[in-house]
Amino acid sequence: MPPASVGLDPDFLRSLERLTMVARRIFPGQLKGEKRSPRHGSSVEFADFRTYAPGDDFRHVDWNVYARLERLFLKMFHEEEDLHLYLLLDVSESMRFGEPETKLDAGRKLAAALGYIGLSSLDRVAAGTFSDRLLDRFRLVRGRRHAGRLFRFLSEAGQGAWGTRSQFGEAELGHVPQAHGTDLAEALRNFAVRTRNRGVVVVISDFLDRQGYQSAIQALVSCHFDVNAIQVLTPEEVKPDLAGDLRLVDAETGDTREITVTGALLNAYRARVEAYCDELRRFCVRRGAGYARLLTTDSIEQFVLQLLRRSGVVA
Amino acid sequence: MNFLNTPALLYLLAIPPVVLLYFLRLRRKNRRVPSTLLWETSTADLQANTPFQRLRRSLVLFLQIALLAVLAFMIARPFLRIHALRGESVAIVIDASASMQATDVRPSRIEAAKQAAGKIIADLSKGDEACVIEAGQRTRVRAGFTTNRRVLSSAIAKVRATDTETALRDALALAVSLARKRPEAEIVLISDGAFAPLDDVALGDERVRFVQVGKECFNVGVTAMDARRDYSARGALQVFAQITSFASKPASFVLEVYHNDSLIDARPVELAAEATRGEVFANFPYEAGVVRAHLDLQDDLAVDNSGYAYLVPRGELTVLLVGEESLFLERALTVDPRARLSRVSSADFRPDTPADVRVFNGWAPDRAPDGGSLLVNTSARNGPVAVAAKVQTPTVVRWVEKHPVLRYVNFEQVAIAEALSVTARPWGQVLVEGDTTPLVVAGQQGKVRAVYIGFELERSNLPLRAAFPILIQNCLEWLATGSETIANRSVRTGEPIALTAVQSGEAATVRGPDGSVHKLNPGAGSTAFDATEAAGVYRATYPEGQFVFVANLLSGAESNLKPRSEINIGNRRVGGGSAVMTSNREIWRHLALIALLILAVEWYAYHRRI
Repeated sequence: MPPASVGLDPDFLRSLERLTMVARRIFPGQLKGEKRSPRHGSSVEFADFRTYAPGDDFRHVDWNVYARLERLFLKMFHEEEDLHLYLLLDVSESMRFGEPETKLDAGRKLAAALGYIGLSSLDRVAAGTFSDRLLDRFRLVRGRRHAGRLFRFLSEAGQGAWGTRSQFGEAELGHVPQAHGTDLAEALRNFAVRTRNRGVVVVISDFLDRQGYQSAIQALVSCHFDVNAIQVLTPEEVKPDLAGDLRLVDAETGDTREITVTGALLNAYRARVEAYCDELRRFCVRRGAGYARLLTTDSIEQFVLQLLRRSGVVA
Repeated sequence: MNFLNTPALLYLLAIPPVVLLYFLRLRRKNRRVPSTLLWETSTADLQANTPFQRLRRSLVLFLQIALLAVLAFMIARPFLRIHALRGESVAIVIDASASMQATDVRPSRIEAAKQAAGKIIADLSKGDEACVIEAGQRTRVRAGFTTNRRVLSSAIAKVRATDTETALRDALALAVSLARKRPEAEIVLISDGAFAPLDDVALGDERVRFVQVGKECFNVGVTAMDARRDYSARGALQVFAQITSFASKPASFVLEVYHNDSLIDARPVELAAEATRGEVFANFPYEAGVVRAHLDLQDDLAVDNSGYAYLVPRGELTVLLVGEESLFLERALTVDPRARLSRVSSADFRPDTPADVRVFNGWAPDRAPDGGSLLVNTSARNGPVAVAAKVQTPTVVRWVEKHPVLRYVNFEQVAIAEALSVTARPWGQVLVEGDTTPLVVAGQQGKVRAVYIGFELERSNLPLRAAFPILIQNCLEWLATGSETIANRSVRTGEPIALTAVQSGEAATVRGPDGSVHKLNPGAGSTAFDATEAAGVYRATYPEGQFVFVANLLSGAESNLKPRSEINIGNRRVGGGSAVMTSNREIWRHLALIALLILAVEWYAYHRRI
């Protein structure tokens, strides 16, 4: 029985067991799994023939062809291998907003759900958290029995001292990061460089990065990862309910912005949010990456079972 | 805009504290947000799109300032002079005098006045009432107070300018008495301001507005016209015309003199601006008939370009001198060639001796006989004075120039050694007032008509002065009742003249210069005919013949067409206004509404964050 420490319903988890992650490209795995591998091997899906060379496994010789042609050919099959699934969760300060559930909560649940799908279909699943750099990492595991550890990792993500268990970056050098802003480019580039095995990367973030998300996503795409960007936003961010003269304080940078809320300003802001999300979506689509938007008030179950399925992230 | 409570504008000083409070209030609430990234771009967009963003941002502040300003103005009680009726009742007095015929405003001042009156009628609110008073020589109420505009309009249409002076005093007194009975009444005087000063009109507390018609204009008029006998030239007729220019530029024209409509003399006249000139036609060749002096020029007022006189043929005048002999008196009495002088001593005097005028010098009978008596240094029991004693060297204090007896007579520098100390009887009019006693008194009681001269002529310098023969001639003319004189054939327009209604059975008809025909009331023996509002020649027709008289305007006040921007009525100065009825209407109610509206908008703006 999978633990439900991240707040996922057991029934929902059971329904996730029927799903698998979809990779838009084929990645080489380490163990035989449920995904096609670029390596040819012993599965039922036929790929090609090649002439026998000394040392080849006799078990793969096509004896029917030898009978007809008296030449030795080897049958080649697509090898079904396990998939590498990386779940990258933004735990920056901006993710701690949202009522009653924060963006981080929603991100944890989503990551847990996707991770569970991966573990259920014998994929290798790793998880990591980042803010302005990569923070904690949950190493690659395989098999549903690791679900509990994954969930625990996720439920502790972004809690306690930042970066104390970091296995990436400067934290290992004894540097305890004070800032918890967002630097997607730095974090994801770092991830891309340090990760040997290519696979599916799901970036769960609000993508509100002053430096821009473009170079970050580009870095992953360039390193042949299958990228899925899931933008988590609160309804207040999309349709803010503000009034009066306010000094807005940026939770991450501490920057302030004085506004007097007017109807026109609210309209302009809403249009701006939509435009920002649309830009992100277009950017992802142009680069073969997936994009989906999750509001903290949305039901995770629906989001995974319907929206992600429809958009082909899971199948 | 004016204010009834101007100090209340100090409340505007409440605005700076509000602005201050606004800026203090602007310490904004801090609000943590995930990121200001999107807000930055949004406000940047907004600022780029609307240059008045800063203004709009403080819309609430502006509304609050506006609200305060409106409230302060409201407390200051502003009022507007608005185009509306102030009172509920308006007494419209339209000047219908001769000057209103002036054509400086087209078609004439009276038409302009009627238009102005029409405007006032049009401005009447429902339920407001008005009356129309025409102020000519006589005051006519064309329409009493009514709310019926049709009646008022037709009353205004009936108003005609006459050739007379205006009796505004009467008209205003009537208007005041009409208005006094009504609350919220206003008297509107529509005039050109060309009338004699109205110093003795008591307006009370009635509101009066003066609507001035007419503009600067050009007029020359005949302001005096007379014909008299020149006794230095054996009683030959002299015709005298005084011409006054009221123009601001010199005028040149021809002064024509007509006798019974035929031109007999013409003189070119150059008259400087605002100058007066007298023209005398001596040795006038005609003894009887109508004489007309006419100015041949085009000016703004035609009616004063003609003056009329009617010459009467000379008749006999029998004068009886009774009492002490006086060389001066005899000489003066015989100046008039028609006078037949006879002398009689006081002892031989009989009251029934026929004479037109009896002159008693130093002695008078107990009772003065019927008819005219000139009492010199004496008086009778039925005379105009009661004698008490004698006074030494009385000084002349004043004399009544307008009385026919003192026509052209000047008592300046007349010195008197001794005079009778008298008191005038009620019917006797004191013509020359001394410092201690009346000196010349005239009057009529019953059939006795008398002039009293209260000092011995030889003990004064009066006989040596030019005024003496004129005084004596005036006395003779005035005392000779019933005798025809030039003076009693001429009236001022609008003034009454005594006419005999019936001479032999049939009532007389009078034809005026404007063609109007009036039938005299046959019931009265002698009647006062007052339909003399047109200047010119009137002919009363009897079976035996005609009685001709003339009516003249001869009014400097009417001929002076210069518009007056303000006039004095009583002790009040009334400024010229327009026909547009203005009234001071307070507008604080409107301001209160505006304030309420601003308050509502402010509330909406504050809560909806416009």
